[in-house]
Amino acid sequence: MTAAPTVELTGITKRYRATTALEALDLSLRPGVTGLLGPNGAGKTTLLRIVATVLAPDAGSVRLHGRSPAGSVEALAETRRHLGYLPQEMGFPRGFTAFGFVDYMAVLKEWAARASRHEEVRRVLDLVDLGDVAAKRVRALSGGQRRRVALAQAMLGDPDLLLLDEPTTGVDPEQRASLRQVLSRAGERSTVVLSTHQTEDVAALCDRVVVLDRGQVRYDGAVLDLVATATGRVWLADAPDPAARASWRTGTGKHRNVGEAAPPGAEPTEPTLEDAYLLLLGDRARTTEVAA
Amino acid sequence: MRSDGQWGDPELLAAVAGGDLGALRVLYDRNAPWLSARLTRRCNSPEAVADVLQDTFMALWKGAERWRGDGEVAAWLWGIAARRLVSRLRGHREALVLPLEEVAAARPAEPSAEERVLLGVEYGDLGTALVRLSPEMRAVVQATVLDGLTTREAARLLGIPANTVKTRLHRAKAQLRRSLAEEPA
Amino acid sequence: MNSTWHAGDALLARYVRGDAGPLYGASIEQHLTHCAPCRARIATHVEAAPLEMVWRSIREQAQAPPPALVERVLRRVGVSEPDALLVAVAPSLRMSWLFGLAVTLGFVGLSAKYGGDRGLAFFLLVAPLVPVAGVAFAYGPEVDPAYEVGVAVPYSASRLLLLRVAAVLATSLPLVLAAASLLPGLSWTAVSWLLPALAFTAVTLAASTWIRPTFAGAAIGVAWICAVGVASVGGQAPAVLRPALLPVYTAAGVAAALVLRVRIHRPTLLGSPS
Repeated sequence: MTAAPTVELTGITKRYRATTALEALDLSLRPGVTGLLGPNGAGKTTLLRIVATVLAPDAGSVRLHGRSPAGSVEALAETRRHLGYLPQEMGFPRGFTAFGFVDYMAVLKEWAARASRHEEVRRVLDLVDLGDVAAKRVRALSGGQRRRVALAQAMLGDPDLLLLDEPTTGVDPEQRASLRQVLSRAGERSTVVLSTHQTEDVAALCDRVVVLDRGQVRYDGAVLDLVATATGRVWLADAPDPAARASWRTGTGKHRNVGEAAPPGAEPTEPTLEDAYLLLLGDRARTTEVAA
Repeated sequence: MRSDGQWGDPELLAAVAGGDLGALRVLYDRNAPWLSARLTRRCNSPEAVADVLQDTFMALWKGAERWRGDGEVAAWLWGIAARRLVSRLRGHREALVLPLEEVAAARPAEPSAEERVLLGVEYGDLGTALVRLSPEMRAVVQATVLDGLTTREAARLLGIPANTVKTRLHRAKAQLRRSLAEEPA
Repeated sequence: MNSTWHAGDALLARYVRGDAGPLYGASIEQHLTHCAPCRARIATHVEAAPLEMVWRSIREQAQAPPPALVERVLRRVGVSEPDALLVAVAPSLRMSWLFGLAVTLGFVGLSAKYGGDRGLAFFLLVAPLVPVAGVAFAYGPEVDPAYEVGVAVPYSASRLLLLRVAAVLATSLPLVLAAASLLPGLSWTAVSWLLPALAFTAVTLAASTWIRPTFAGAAIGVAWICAVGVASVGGQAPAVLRPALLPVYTAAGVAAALVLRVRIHRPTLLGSPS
């Protein structure tokens, strides 16, 4: 995996009035699917917005494909030609159909010719399985379907850099599986950055994971390596172990304990990414939605 | 995508009314072939048939909620298609109407036994009486009674004046009444 | 009369070819109306390729939304299709807005005609603020729910902004002029309001490179209301348009335009909240 980094962030700092969202952050992102995990307020959304050129950092530099978007208006436009962005919260103007909205975004992405533009709109809508409801008003679609419309516009033109903030929120389980397939295929050609609360999405989909906490990188490496840090630190018992950092009753009736070290003689079990994440962040992780 | 066999026409229409293009596709796949064949029998211009087909399904797309569930969807679709064909012929005189009379003239005058039986099956007593009509009168009866067009629409479809349609229809009906009276039921 | 008859494949093939004869044809057609399996079977005899082409046209017509009136007008005057689409999306260029504007201006015009001094003051209050409101509601995070994702695109933001502003001015100014034509007598007031109108528009645009467009518009609106209010207390509402002030408006407008020209190329959000 010695591909040149698509995104290089150096010394990125961003402050909002009293709080510091990101502090002198250094990060490289490469082709493949990278997950971005962290508790609320960790700075994930701010980071994505900076990489998406939607927000300017207070300090530091961003280089996308070796280019700096801050240089000139033309450099900025050129950078934006190669990225697709899905914000955490996205609304839709009134009266738009799914097709109409993605078509509008395609025009903004400089698809001037109507026929080829409509072909591309159909292509991305089919990718997210919305071909049948393309003519429906967005406001009449379910939350998960709207999220998929938003994802579709990010995938217009098959961009080199795909920045997705909570792409699977509200999407139902069958659809989530098919979206994972779409994103995984995209990761074969492009750099996909996926910010999410769902550790299983990261575990299922991502090669690498970056864990952010309070504006700083706490882990940056392969998913499997992070999971390995929890080996020997997850065990099953009949009752919650007071020495464990977290403990809950599983469906089998046993209690799953996650802590510093399994007591001798305890029944160890395979760690998951969620366990490793919990151990990494300690008490901070408890305040997060660690989704089931 | 849903599999074709699961959905009946009423469910498909409801889905189309809700904006489901996939349902429209299924309805199209089920109905476009026979509609295009039936249209071609009345107008042998492929462009006209294609236009009418497109207009028909666009009308279906926009007006699916207007179907009240009485009768067959297929019959409803033909009603739309026939009217679209007529209004298209109004503007494009070059779209030739397939002369039903020509085809009839090429065949032997006496209908076969099987033809009679089938007409009887499909149309009952009216069917067997239709056999006795001349091709011109049959064309008029087909356009008005069977296709459900008005006199004026039938006139446009067949390329004859409306008065001729009225006269032929009148004579055809008289002849049909006589035939039906003669044949014991 | 129930039929257990079904059209055989050979007969269906002849029917599709056109030589089944009118009698068989009539029977087959009636049969197909009520027999779904035979309808399915006839499909194997009809050429698929032309039907597929028609389907593509249907799909395109069903999916692509019909262009709005504003968009059609823009195309008519020579604006390219993508530009026209982008402009027509702006909230202050939708039919509902324009309709509301026309009604409001009708009201204003009538009160100017029959309302004497008060009516005139009302007109002076509203007229220059119409393009300001149009511009404030043409773009920006508050009026465009998809604003954030619309920033991360290569399309030139300044071009989009100027296109929309041009369209706003082109639609709203004639409406105000129509209302102005109802003013009693042939006075300079009927057109001199254009100067503050254009100046305020430029100021709103320039200010929206710092603050939200709606805030900028509101601030200008309040300031103008106060100015007209103060002037009309003395019964001299047209004082806001007296010749001494006209250069002031001009200067403000020009300055704002220069500021805008400099700041519009800054590669950050226009009117970003953070």
